[in-house]
Amino acid sequence: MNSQPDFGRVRTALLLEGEPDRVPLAEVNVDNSIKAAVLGRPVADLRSEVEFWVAAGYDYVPIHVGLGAFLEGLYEDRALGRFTTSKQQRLDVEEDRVWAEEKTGVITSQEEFEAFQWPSVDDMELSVLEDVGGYLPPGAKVIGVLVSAIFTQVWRLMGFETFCFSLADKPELVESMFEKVGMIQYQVLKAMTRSRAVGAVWITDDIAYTEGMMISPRELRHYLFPWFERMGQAVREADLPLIYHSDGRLYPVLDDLIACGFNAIHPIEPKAMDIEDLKETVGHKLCLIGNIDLSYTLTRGTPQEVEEEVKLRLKTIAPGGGYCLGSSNSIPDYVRVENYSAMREAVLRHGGYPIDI
Amino acid sequence: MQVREQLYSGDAESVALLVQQALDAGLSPAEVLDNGLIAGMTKVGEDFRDDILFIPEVLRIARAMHAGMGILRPLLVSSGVKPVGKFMIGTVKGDMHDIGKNLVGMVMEGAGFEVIDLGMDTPAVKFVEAVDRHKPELLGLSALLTSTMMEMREVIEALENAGLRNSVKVMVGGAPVTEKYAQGIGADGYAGNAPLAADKAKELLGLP
Repeated sequence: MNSQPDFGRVRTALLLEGEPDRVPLAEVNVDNSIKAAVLGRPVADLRSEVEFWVAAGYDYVPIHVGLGAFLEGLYEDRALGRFTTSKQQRLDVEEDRVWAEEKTGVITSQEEFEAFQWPSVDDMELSVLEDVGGYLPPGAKVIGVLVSAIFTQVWRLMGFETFCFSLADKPELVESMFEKVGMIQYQVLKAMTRSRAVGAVWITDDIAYTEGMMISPRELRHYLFPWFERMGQAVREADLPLIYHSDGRLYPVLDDLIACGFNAIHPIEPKAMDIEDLKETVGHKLCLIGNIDLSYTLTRGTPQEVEEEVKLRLKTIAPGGGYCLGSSNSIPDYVRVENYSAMREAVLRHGGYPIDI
Repeated sequence: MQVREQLYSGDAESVALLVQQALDAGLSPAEVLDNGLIAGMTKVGEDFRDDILFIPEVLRIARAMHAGMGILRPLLVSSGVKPVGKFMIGTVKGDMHDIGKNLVGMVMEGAGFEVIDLGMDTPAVKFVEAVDRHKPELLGLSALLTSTMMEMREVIEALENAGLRNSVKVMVGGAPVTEKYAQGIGADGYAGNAPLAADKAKELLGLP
């Protein structure tokens, strides 16, 4: 794949500054097995990580930082080999897949909240952003990804059911959790904005599923969006674009997200939201990212079907700018490599502006 | 009925208390179930569908319903009141998610079904054995990953191979599942959330 990285095209798309030279490719994550298949060797260090993203046609390298990345070891300890059901049955987990805690997490009371060893921003090893920056070719940037930013961290630490019950039973604990997690992640984000390697910030925090919002918009406006507003302001002051990732159906809170300062939304799952409708209604306020189907096209379809879907999105969504093309979530290990390649190649072949399909 | 109002508020203690008070006042277990819990859950289902209630509220309501059913269930059995049907559910092999499955089970119990929950990570052979033993009218399959939802086809084929496919209506659901996928694998029904699952279940059985 022959494409020189140019983060300028990504910035143009994110900030709705018209049509760049071509539609940018965008993913927030690609499984290591897919990276290795594309690169022809394992991605084992920062240099090869950069080499993958550039070789694959992207203009940036996403680097995941913050509490989510830091606590993955904690979640793995609880999940791998020691996963128990509510009936206290030990299950043998065959794969190294980490399952989110649905019932009871590590913080279920104010006492456990106070006793938890909360990390500080200094524990987060944010120097990785500059280290990656050292390997970037001209034109490429880092996108700092604040993964599973606030809402997700709160419920993962509490366990999803415990969190849900606590919204009514222990609101003070929920307040404490959002305050603590929000402040840590805000400080991480501020540090990201000071990095010269960073060209944009990507906040991932799932608040919805296929049919609707996980909790009420009223509660999101109380607990979560004030933190997004602060983050939006910090990113804006640093003159950086801000991307928001959430799965699912976000219609009830799109105006809130715009007000928080997000420039773009991702990944626009086809079964949850209609991207053509979004282009028409909010396309002048939000850059749209993603939408190539994972339920069938990228996972079970053919390269020809992938190309057809890419061409359709380029034709209907890309004109005018404000669109970055990618999958409808990320690239997991069960995406066919030939389909992933077909998607990227189709963008390079057909995604030059003005779109002529 | 006050049971219905308190159920909607998700107050488990109050629901249990009011259920007992209603029984002490002379109402039959079936009356308390139909006019209190089932009527309450019908409204919950509608409001969840209409984005008035969300997952935390439904979980609290389900907890309250469970508290009420804890008092009613033995009385219903001893008085010969039969459930409207038998609903079996499980998360397919390789999948460890159960909140969605549990919500469906609770809503189905609130709709008057006897619910048999096979749990998570359930292989096809276990579904077949359970269908053969319990003879449910409905079987619900849950999956939360694009990779694990493939198991749903395996379960349906295993039922066919065992000669049990025509004995049970199969419904599928979960985040990656779609109506199109359900039709493609030969399922009888698909539902996008718990209240819709209850509606579909009644439709498949020809119930009002």
